[in-house]
Amino acid sequence: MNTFVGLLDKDRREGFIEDLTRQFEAEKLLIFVRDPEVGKFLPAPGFDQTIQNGKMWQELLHSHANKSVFSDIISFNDDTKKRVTLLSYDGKISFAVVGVEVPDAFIEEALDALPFLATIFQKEKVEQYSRVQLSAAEHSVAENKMIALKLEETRRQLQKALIRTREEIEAIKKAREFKKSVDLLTKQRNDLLHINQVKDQFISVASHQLRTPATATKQYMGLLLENYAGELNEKQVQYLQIAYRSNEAQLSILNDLLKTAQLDSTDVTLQKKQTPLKPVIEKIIHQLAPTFSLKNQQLFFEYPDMDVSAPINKDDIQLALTNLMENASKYTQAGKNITVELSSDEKYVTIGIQDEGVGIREKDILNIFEKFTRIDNELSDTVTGSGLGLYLVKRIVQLHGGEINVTSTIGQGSLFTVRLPL
Amino acid sequence: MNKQYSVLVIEDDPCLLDICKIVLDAGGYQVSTATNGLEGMAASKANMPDLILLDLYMPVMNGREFLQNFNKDDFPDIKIIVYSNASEKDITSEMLELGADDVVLKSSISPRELNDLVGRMLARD
Repeated sequence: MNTFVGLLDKDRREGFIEDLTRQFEAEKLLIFVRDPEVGKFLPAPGFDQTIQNGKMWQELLHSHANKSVFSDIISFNDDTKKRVTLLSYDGKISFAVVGVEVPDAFIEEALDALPFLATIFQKEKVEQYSRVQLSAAEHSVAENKMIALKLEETRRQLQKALIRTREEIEAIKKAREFKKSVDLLTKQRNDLLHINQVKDQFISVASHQLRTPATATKQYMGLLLENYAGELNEKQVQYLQIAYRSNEAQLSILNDLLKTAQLDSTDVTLQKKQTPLKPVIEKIIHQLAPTFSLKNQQLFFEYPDMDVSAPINKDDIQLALTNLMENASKYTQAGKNITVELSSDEKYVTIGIQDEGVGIREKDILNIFEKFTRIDNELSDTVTGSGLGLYLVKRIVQLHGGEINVTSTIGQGSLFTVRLPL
Repeated sequence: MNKQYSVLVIEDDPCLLDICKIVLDAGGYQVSTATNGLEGMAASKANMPDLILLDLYMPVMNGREFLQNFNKDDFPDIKIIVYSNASEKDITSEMLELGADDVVLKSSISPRELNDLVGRMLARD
């Protein structure tokens, strides 16, 4: 709401009110008249009320026209906070800012005279106070903003810390779970190791206990076959030979079981010695000669002129190569060839055993080195064994730090290649 | 055979002991027996055999312990063949180091081959 405060001199001029009316469209008009006798502004009677419209305001001013002459008017307006309007004696209105064009004495006089003005002035003080308050509030707001920022920062840090804590809790949980898993796995591993050891012991003890009587049986049959108990007739010899071979197969399986238990034990270490390979292979060929001869198979041995030696455990390598050569004979039809080739380079000794046998199907190649593996082929019905032969070969080669590979074509034969590091 | 060699068989299995005795008797050797290493030690000193056929796995004192305790220097002329069933282990080099003259697997040779082996070993100087 606009408030108009007028300070009027008694010497007003005609037309002032109209000008004033045009100039201000305030809804409330307070007029104060300067009394020359007193020398102060006094509230003009009838003007300290709210004017509803311009017309009523004019009427009120006109009713005082003969009593008062307007000389100065100070107006206050909410929009401009404080504006001084000076009215000259010729009735024209001009504007100035307090302290520049309005004499101090005039303002003081007006303030002394008018409680209303004092109130307005106090309003200014209030405004000043408010500004201080505002400033303080702004300061406070700024501080609060700072605090808020700090709080926000603290909140963020707490949030981060919370996330970290959650992550740490998760990590601890996971670590605990991991430890549990590790403990469980360790226990399972130890259990399995124990079971494996017990199994190895069982196989070892059982096989050993079985092998002694089996050996005795073989030797007693040997005594009969070698005529320690006198001459045998043809039938007796024939039957005994069957029993003898059967007993040998049994012993061979027992030996394979014992060898497997030994090589699978956790503390196995092979004693190796630099050994020439050619005599080892020749010895095997000599020992297996009756086997090849029985199937009318030819065995060729190809080797380089120079000495080929490697750090090996002779007995174990002999066992591995014997198994491979026996297999070559077993899975090759009568009348065909088997070739053993010895070679070496700077790093490895290579022994290849090539047969012209039935071959191995691709899907079986992956399994043939597993324990107790027997694969079906056209000759498997005629072949006996523990299913441990190739497992032992692979294990022995591995324990030498070597490797074994096989390539095969059905109906054409297989090539087993053993590579041992020099 | 001009000289009758004496052979001490140290073997705990009665059947295998019996077989060795049959083979060596038939081979013309003078055969004595013991069923463990400790007995064998006493028999060695008492009989001073030309050759000992030594089993490996035995109660009381096994073949390895026998070799460890048998002072070869005191009996330089006694040949020792370790006659074992330990096919699964590489015992040959260990036994030779302990003083054995040869190592043979029981199940790998026939009675006659055993007889021949003993003959060959005794013929060695």
